[in-house]
Amino acid sequence: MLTASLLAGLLLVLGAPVSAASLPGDVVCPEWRQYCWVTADTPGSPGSGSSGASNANTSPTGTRVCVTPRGREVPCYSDVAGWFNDADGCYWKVVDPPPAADDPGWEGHYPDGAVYLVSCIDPIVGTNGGLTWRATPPPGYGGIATPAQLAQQAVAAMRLTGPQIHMTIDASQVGLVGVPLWLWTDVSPTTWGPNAATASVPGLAVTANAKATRIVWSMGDGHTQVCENPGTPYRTGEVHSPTCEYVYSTASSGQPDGAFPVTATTTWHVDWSGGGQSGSLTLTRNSSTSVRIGELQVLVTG
Amino acid sequence: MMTTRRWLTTATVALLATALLAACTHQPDDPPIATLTASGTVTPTPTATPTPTLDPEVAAAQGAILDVYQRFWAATVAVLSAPALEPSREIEDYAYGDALGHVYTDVLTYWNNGIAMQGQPKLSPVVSDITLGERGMATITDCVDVTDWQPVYTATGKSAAAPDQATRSLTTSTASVIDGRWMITNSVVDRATPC
Repeated sequence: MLTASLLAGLLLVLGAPVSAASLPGDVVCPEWRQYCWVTADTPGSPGSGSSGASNANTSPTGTRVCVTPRGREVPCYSDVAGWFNDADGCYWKVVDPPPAADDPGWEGHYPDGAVYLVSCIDPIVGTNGGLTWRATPPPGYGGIATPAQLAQQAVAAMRLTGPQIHMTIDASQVGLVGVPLWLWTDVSPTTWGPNAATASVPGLAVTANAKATRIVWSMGDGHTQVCENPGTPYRTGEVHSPTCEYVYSTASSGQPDGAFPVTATTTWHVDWSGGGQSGSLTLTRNSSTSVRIGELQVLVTG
Repeated sequence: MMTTRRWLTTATVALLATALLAACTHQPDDPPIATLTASGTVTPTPTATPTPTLDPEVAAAQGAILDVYQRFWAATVAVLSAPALEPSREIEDYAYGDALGHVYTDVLTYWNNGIAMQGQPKLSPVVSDITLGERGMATITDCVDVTDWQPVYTATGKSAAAPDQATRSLTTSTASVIDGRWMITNSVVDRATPC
């Protein structure tokens, strides 16, 4: 619609590809503008020598070079308009604030994907600026990502956490000095793994696999217990955990609120690969609770 | 479509910016004075009736809409007078969504073609179909006169306008409440209807 529909029709009749850039001398009649205008013979000022190059270039230094459909080099990013999309000759930027849920800009997809503000500099025929919904970012959006950057995105997507802390006694109960306290976490993709996620931009995908390797239990009495396992849920009648436990030697009565603060820190190991590269990351996540420990003052036997 | 606001009122207001009336004298629907149809109290306003009673909130909205429309146009004229890759963002105070993307598209395409707009358009906006509330909307109908607002190739000073174009264009814009204030959200030109 940017170019007169008559012109678009002519191009189709003549067999020109609809992805063609507008040609010198074309009449452009935007539906929102009060007049039609004539495309210049040459772009406003000479580009920097990229004329005729394909428009998804990479410079010798590996940085992205952006070229419009008519061969003019332009910045790949604009503060005002966003990221350049080689495929349509327009800049794309996520709309902020986003349109309301029932706004036509969502094209019925709310809340999936995102609504973009599209501002065209050298649009291919049939492309308009304005609000456009996309499920995934357009080509070139966010710049060219490295596999390591995508690995970070994949890790973020997994939403790894610290342990879901469990102990033999719950917060309403009081444990005893000298009695083994079983320590464990729920085993789920976010609390112990395994977990996996893939992050991608057009042309590049990176998959990350994460698993927890150990939990450091800081018991609040100055001691830590390291368990290279998620622990074992308490089984009534048993004394010792087969995998992970701690025995307090002092009561918590002298502590603030009469309880030991417990922090459990999970170490996650992440392997990632994609785009011909691979690597690994180590990260930690922690959770906290508290536990009350008393001393047994009267031993009843029998 | 609106929810629970006590003062939700759907009203139709037609108001001519009288100062600019001269630019658009052939519109058959032009009311001789402001008329109002509001909240079920439909009152056909005879020509002789001096002043119809405007719901104060509708009147306030109408003033705000006309104001933002004029500012939207002033920012558009300013930014298109010197197209740049990183233009002034003043327009973002008055335009949202399609309206904003279209102005920026004009800015960037003009920059790419070495075109700048010279002069000033003449506006004669009429506000109608005001809906109040958090999702308020209104229509602005305007017969935009571009006789003195024309695209020029800056290198040569020659006109970039296509030949044989109307000097006045019926332009229908939408104003919407975005984050609590009126913004211009869309604008469409009807080339087939003279005004």
